[in-house]
Amino acid sequence: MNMQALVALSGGATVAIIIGAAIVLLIIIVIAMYNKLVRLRQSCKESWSDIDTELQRRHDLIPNLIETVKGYATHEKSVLEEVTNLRNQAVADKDKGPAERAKVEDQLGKAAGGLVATFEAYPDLKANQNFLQLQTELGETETRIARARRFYNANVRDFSNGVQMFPSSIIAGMGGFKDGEFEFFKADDSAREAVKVDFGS
Amino acid sequence: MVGVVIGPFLVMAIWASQTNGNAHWPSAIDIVLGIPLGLLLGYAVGLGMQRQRLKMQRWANARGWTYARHGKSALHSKVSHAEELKHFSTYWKLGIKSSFMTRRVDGRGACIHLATHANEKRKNTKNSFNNDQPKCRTFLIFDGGTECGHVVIHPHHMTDAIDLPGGMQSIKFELNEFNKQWTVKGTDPKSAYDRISQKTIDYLMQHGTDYAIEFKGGLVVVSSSAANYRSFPTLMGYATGLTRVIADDLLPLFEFLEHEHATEASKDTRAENT
Repeated sequence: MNMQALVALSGGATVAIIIGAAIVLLIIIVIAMYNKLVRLRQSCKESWSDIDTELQRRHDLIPNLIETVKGYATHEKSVLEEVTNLRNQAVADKDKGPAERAKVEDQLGKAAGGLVATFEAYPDLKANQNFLQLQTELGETETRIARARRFYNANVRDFSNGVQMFPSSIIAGMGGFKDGEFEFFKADDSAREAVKVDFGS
Repeated sequence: MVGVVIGPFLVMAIWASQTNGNAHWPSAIDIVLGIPLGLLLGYAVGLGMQRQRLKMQRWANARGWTYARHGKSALHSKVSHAEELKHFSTYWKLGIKSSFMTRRVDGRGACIHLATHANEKRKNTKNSFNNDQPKCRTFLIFDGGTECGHVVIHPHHMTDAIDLPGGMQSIKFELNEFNKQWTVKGTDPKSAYDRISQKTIDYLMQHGTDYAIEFKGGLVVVSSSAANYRSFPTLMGYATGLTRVIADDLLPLFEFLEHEHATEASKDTRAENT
């Protein structure tokens, strides 16, 4: 084998190595992107299950709360009825999507908060240990729901960005990841409206 | 004692410099002259160190803290989860540590100290001489009161964008301005989201990027680039504020400086500075 043939062979080998390395690098990038999307999808599922657990805790607390305050309710029957109806509706909507559930759950959260505020005015209830315990538990549950909601929405946002943004959108298309696969657990629009203050005339 | 040993060699070195370096071992005259001189020097250095210790002791006591001469053992005896520090990425494990002060409130321990980095230097921008100072940092280590996954919050650097496989996951928040200024990484994004609420984001943004915060297990480390024990109250105040903005069930309030001590401290610091 002469010198020219050797140089030509080594040049060809170098090109082959460069192409091979580029392909390996590309494969690694594709795998990393795919794994990231899988991880984001899993995070969405896990964080939704956290919300579900906390909502379930609230559903379980409300009947106990109603049972405790029922004996004191002389003029607040409508408040109790409203909370009971919303709770029943929330339980019935358990298998629906986040966006639909968010509407009823937000109303239920507000109504339960209103119920506690209304019955706080009763001096006998203020001294009732059971009521105080339920009040604390409800408050803590609301805080945990708010945290779980924020984390879930962040995961959905990250997943959505991953599916829409280039170049991961190509991997998402091939891997069956769809934008809108997870809905945001959004607050009720009425809750976002600015409070109208009437200063009177 | 050190002075007695070093003294004769010191006299010999001075003598050697006068006689063009012909001296080899201390002669009788070197020993006779060197021992008293060494004693005197050793005494002066010891006295200076003792005065500095007493000064720091008084300073710490005035603020409800205890100056700890044997810092590392004090840190491990006061702070319950101090052994976790070896897993902390923002803590300078190899740094030279000094000015240890400790405190224990309601079963939770805290330790504050200065650390000088083993290798890195701080650029002196004030003049053109090449007299770069060693890089210093103040660390406040305390019992968080609740368990937390590993979460690191530090000012944003260019290299933070690279996510190494097997490393901590980068966590992004709703506010882009915050994501640009700060890097949050962790093994448990839920813990990070729970602790970094909108209130915490506002607090971090308001106080600038001179600080770093790290949570792991039951331990919290907050650090700043302050290089003097007189700036400890600033870091303590910052950490107290942090425990205020994070929900109580996740990080119970820790008053590092009691109110009366805080007032005294600010007066003392002003007086010392003037």
